[in-house]
Amino acid sequence: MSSEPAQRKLILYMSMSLDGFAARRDGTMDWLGEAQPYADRRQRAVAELLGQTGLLVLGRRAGQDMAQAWPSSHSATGKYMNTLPKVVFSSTVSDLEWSNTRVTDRSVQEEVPELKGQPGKDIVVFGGASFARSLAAHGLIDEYRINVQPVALGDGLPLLHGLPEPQRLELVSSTAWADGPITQTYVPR
Amino acid sequence: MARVICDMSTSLDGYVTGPNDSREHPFGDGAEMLHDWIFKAATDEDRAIVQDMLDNLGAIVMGRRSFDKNEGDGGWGDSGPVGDTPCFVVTHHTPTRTHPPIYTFITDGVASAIEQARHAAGDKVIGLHGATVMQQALPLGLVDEIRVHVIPVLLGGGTPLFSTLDSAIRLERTRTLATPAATHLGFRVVQ
Repeated sequence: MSSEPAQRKLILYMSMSLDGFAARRDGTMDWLGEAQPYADRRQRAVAELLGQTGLLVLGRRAGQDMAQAWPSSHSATGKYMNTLPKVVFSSTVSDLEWSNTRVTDRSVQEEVPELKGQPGKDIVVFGGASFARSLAAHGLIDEYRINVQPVALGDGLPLLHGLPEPQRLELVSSTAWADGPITQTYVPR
Repeated sequence: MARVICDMSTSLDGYVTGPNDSREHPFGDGAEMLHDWIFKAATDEDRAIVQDMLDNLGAIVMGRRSFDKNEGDGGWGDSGPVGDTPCFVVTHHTPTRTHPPIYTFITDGVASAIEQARHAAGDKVIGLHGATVMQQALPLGLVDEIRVHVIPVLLGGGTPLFSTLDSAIRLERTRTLATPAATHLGFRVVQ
């Protein structure tokens, strides 16, 4: 019996308000508190994750937003975002002006298993909310790294709302950062 | 606030173990003398350096390889490398076998491990134990000091202390002290 070939993981890295929202209703995320003292330590964890990333996958909206925001950035994070290979899922947009970006109109359940089967470092998703939900709904997320932010928004775009069935997860790591958020790392049971 | 310090004994050619290190031979071929300055060749000056390190140590961050090579019977026994000092192990998978409760396993990276170690260390030192975790933490700007004890030996191979970097990291020398068994060097990382 041959053993199953090792696949690269798909890691979801997102922030969430204490009451479970990934963004305000209008999609803004001005509540993240990135300017708090010591926020740089958590940003180093993001830099570390990007250094271990082989591919970014994005939904249509995140793809369009980031294709606007990142190309002009020369920060360390920007360098990763611009040089890493990216796949954007959209049935309406066919092309994006962003280096190393490919747009696909295939569904996540068709495309993502193939991407995972390719050699390389792990695949990372930074959102947004509805794209994360569609990945989760098809059981495609191998690791959830959720930054629980010290804020209750009251309203917004819920993270992982409306899954077809409950997903049982196991907490494998929990890091309380000096600037307030707690990164909870879960893997599917 | 806790300082993050990498404190390692290295050969002149920069190896922290010899070739073929394993659980049976944790130092690798020909590298037993790397730690003689702490034990059989220790002078009062060497002992003072060790005591200062132990007195200030609040937590340890190590890689999975250090853990697997040394934990348990025949290695660190029922504790860690430094008694009850809490140890945070950077790993891809938490081990399923039992281990002493001073160990915490972190699967989401060295930055996360160091942040968890800060809670345990308080104002004391977080020691980075192992070349790999140091090589991961250094380019992320997470290392405050590097202390190397250069042993007069050329090992010719083994585990290198340093790896390639994307850009230069400037250091300020804070200590030079030569004893018969080691040259003790300290550097502060200029952020």
